[in-house]
This record gives sequence, structure tokens and C-alpha cells, in this order.
Amino acid sequence: MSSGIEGLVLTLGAVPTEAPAGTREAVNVSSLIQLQGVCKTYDQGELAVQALRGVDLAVEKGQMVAIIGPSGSGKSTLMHIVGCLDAPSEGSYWLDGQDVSAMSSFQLAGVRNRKVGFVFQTFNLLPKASLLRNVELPMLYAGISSDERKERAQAALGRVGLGDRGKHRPSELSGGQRQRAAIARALVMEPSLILADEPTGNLDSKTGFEIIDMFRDMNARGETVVIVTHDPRIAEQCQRVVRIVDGRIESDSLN
Amino acid sequence: MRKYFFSIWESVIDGIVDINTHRSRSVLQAVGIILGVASVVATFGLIEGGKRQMTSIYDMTGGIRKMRVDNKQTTDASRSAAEQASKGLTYDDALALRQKARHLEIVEPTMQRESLVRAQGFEKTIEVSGSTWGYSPMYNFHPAEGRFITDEDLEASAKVVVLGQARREQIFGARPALGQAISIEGSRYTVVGVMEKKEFYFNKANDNALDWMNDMVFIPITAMMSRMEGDKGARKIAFMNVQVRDLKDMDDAMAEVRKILLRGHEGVEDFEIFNRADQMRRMEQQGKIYDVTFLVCGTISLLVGGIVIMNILLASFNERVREVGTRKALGATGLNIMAQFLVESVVVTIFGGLLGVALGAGCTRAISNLIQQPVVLTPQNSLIGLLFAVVVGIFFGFYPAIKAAKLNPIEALRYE
Repeated sequence: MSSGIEGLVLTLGAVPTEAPAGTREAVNVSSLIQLQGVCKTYDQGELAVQALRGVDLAVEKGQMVAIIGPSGSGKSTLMHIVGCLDAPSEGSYWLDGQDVSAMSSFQLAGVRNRKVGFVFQTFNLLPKASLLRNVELPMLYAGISSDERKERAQAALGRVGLGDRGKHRPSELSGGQRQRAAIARALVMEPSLILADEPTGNLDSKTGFEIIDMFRDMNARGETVVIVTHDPRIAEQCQRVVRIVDGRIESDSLN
Repeated sequence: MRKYFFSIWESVIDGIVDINTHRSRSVLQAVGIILGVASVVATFGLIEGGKRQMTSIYDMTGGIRKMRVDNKQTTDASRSAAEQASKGLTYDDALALRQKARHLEIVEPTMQRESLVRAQGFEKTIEVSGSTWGYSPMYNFHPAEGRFITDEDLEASAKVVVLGQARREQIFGARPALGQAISIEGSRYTVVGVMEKKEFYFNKANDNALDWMNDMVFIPITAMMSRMEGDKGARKIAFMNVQVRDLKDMDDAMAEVRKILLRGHEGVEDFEIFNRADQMRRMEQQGKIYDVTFLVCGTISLLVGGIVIMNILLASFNERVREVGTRKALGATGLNIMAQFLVESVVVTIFGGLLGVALGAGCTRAISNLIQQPVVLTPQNSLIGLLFAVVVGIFFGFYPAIKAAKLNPIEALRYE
């Protein structure tokens, strides 16, 4: 939960710019993602729902990992924590050498901005803004100047093959093109991690595989990619598959 | 840190872009504010216009340092002997005040008689005023040609006459008047002055409210008295105007005048003193009631405008929840979101406020033409209207903005 405006204002003085890693216990934080004993409990009145029950997971730089599991398994919760949208109730999470498990919502916003590139099932592009403006959006929250934003957004659109579509609105594009624009938006901040949540869920299978190919290409060039999916055919395309059942890692295998 | 503020600034720009992309929504929001501000500006303009008129007619007839002493009209049969014996206000009362009253600057007794006035081609019984030099400064009424009655005229009971502008025209037409002679009750008077034209219109449809001054015929009060020598009421005056030297001494001056007059009237209070400052104060108090009433009305209409803004923001809120979720996932902080939402209502209210001022100004002009009464628009009043609008915008924009800023990104992203 957000700590509210007061909290936001209070933490204004401590804007998280590459804050040094926490100094709890000595942990091997060489992995890009390092989860240790992560639990997540949702209080729903008297009923406490345990979405995650002690997850240990390490993802190295340059890996391409699929997280699969049936609905209600906790894979979405895991994705939220990995994506710094949520904080674990217990356990610790180190992302790129930074302990993010104890960060405020304000600090998490900064981590999401710089370290995580999100790709959503429903693309989540701003419908009334041009592709260029959409791709600029994360840089806007990083306080990057307008000229640099335009240049980098144009380059990112070029990388996903939409270099000539910058002025178009999302509604003028096909689903696959929209998802590519969203990928450009995820790449533009040069994050440590690309986190995709069912990225092919709203696409036909052919387009879906094109998108997965794009992720593979990115991975081949050194990007770390984590894809949350329930589609085994997508998981097959990834180097490593982590299966979650009932809030625990059931299997962790390499393809 | 600097980058963060820059990102907040960018969110502000985002909010402004939003206003443009959701034009119908923005226009709806603005309408409430436009009407609210317009009504505030218009009512202020009307009130201000009314006030200015009241003060200006006072200024034109002697200002607020003036006190008027009148004969008290007593028809009571059960008057005491002393009361019956009392002769009412006389020229001697004026002389006594002039000598003894310390707070007074001018004492101006006026005697009025219906008199037969004759000139070449003119014969009519009209009211003639016996006055002193004080009438001119008292009423801020000055000769356009020649001069007014002087002290020398009064001492000599000189047979000189000063005419109001309209009266001059009536008697002499296009011919020159200065130096000419007219006959008043059979005596020959020389015209030594013609007064300026006095004009004041409460509204364009009305007649000149000060036209009576243009019909005046002045002779020295002493000349009028000498003409009626032996007459029982020869020294009786119609009323007396006095002017206080310093407004803050008004109460003391009133007491002083009363004391001196009572002494001359053997304790019989057969006169009344009216104090313009008191009248003015009473009017201002009434004015304040109007002010408050209109302010309340204006505030209510602005509140309605604010609630309209909030309603529209909240109604469109749901369709923006996912957008907020996306923005937060991409790194927007609560402050970014709040800035974006808040700026929308602030800019809409500023624009609405400016348009409202313009509309209000137009309305007051239209009303002014309709009721033919001057309306005064002051920059302060427009500014107050504008300021009100912005305060309302911020106030009512705050709740939706905070609501948006506090959205949980996960829930917002999931929102259908």
C-alpha cells in the first residue's frame, strides 16, 4: 500500500539515486534478482491469504526466465514483488545489488523507473498520446530533458521496427505493433530487467511468437528477461522455467 | 533532486496536455467556474456603482461634513407657553453659531420667500433664497460668470442677485445677464453672477437630480430681511446648513450646535439637527448587508462550480485508473500523479476565472444599459473573483488528485 502523500512528501528529502546497498547480513548479491524466504500475506479482514510462502529465487544477469503456474498460484504476486510494485511481507529481495524489500513506495517508484521495464498483457499505452510520447513516458519520470527524451524514444522505436510510426496513436496500430511499442517503452530507460506479464495474452499465436522472438533477440544481446505466463509453449522458448504452485516454487528447470 | 522537480514539472505539462485532449470534459468543468466568477464580478460591479453614486451626489452637494438644522414641525396642541412663544430658527441663531461654535467652518442660513420677479418680458412668482457667501462652498456650487454673494453685499444689504443657470436662461434667454437689472417684489436688483450648471443623474432615464439648483435665485439674506423690516417673521430662516471643520469632531460639533441653539431658544428644542456622516454610516451599513448577501450568493455559485469540477473529475476518474497504474509502474511517484491531476483543475479554473471576469464585465455593461445605471468594475473586484475561482479549483481538485496519487499501482493496473 502507498504510504500516502504525507509519506511521499516526507521522503522527498531522500530521493533514491543509486542508494548504496543495505547492510543487513552478508548476502551473495551478485545475482540480478535475489529473493530469500519471501512471503506475502494479504490481510482480508479476519482472513489472511498467504500468496507466497517462502520463495527463494536467484536470476542471473542475461538470463531469460519464464515464471509459470496456474491462476491463484502466486505467480502474479511474485511478479509484483520482482517488479517492485509491491513489497514482501517477510524475507528479503535484492535487485541489482540493492535491498528493495524495505523501501518506501516513493523509493520503489524510482527503482521501477530505472531498473525495471514493464511489458503488460494489455499493452497499457496511453490512448490519446502518440507512440513517441508513450515511449518518452518513463524518461519523463526520470527527469530527462525533452530533447534527449525524443532522441532516445525515436531510437527505441527504431529498435522494435516502429521508427516510422512515432507520430501515430496506439489505436492506429495492430496489436503486435502496440506490444512492440510497449517493449520500446520498456527498453528506453535501459533497465536491468525486462519484466513481461503475459505479454502474448492479447495476441494471436503468430504475433505472440513474433513478440517472444523479440524478447529472445533482446536476451541474446544481453538483456535479462522475466516472462510471467501460463502458456507452456511460451515457456518452452525460455532458457529457464520456474513453476509456482500454492505460493512455493515447485520446479526450477533449464530447457 | 533537480531531476525530480523537473519530472514534477513534466507532470504538470502532462496535466495541461490532458486538458486539451479531453476538451469536452474541460469545457464542462470550466462552465461552472465561468458562471460563478461572472456573477461575482457582476454583483460587485453593481454594488460598487451604487456606492460611487451615493458618495458622488453627497460630494456634489457639500460632502459629509455637512449638518442641516431644520425647524421642527410641531403641530401638537398641548405645547407649553415657552414652546409656543419660541419663534423657531432665526438669522440670530446663525450669527450665534458663527460667533460661538468652535468646530464649525461655515454657517449658512437660508431664508426662502415666494417673490414676484419681473424683468423685460418676464413676470412670475418664484422662490427666492436669501443666502450668505457660505452657500457656494457649502454646496460646492460656484458661479460660472461674475461672482457669488460676498461679505460686503451682506454688510451693505446690497441689492444684488445671483441666478441659477436655468433661471438665467428663462429670464434673459440668449441676452447677456450680468449687470442687468431685475425687479424682485418691486425692488431693483442687479445681476452680479450666474451659477454653473449642476447635473447629476442616478440613471440615464432619470431627470437631473440637482435641477432644482439651476432654478435658484440668490440675494443677500440681509437684503431680504431689510425688505421685510417690521414684519413679525422677518428674521425667520427656513433652515441652516453648517459644515464641520474636521469630520472626527462631528459628534462634538452636534452637541455644541445644540447647546448654543438651545440657549437662544430658552431651552425649547424646536429644531432638528441632521448629520450627513450618520446618514452615510447608516447607508454604508446597509451596503454591507448587501455586500455580504451578494458575497454569499457569489460564493455559493462558485462552490457549485467547484463541485461540478470535482464531480467531473471523479466521474472521469475510473477511466483513468489504469492510466495511473501504468504511469506508476513506469516510475511515477504519487506527487507526479497529484501534480498532473491538480494542475488540470487549477488551469481549468484559472481559464474559467478569466473568461468569467470577461463575461461578468460584459454582463455588468449589459445590465448597466438595461437599468441605465452606471456600473463600476474595479480591478480588485475582478481579482477577488479570480482568486476565489483558483482557491475553489485547488480545493475541489485536491480530493480527486490525492485519490489518484494514493492508488495502489497493482490494483490500478488490474482495474477493469
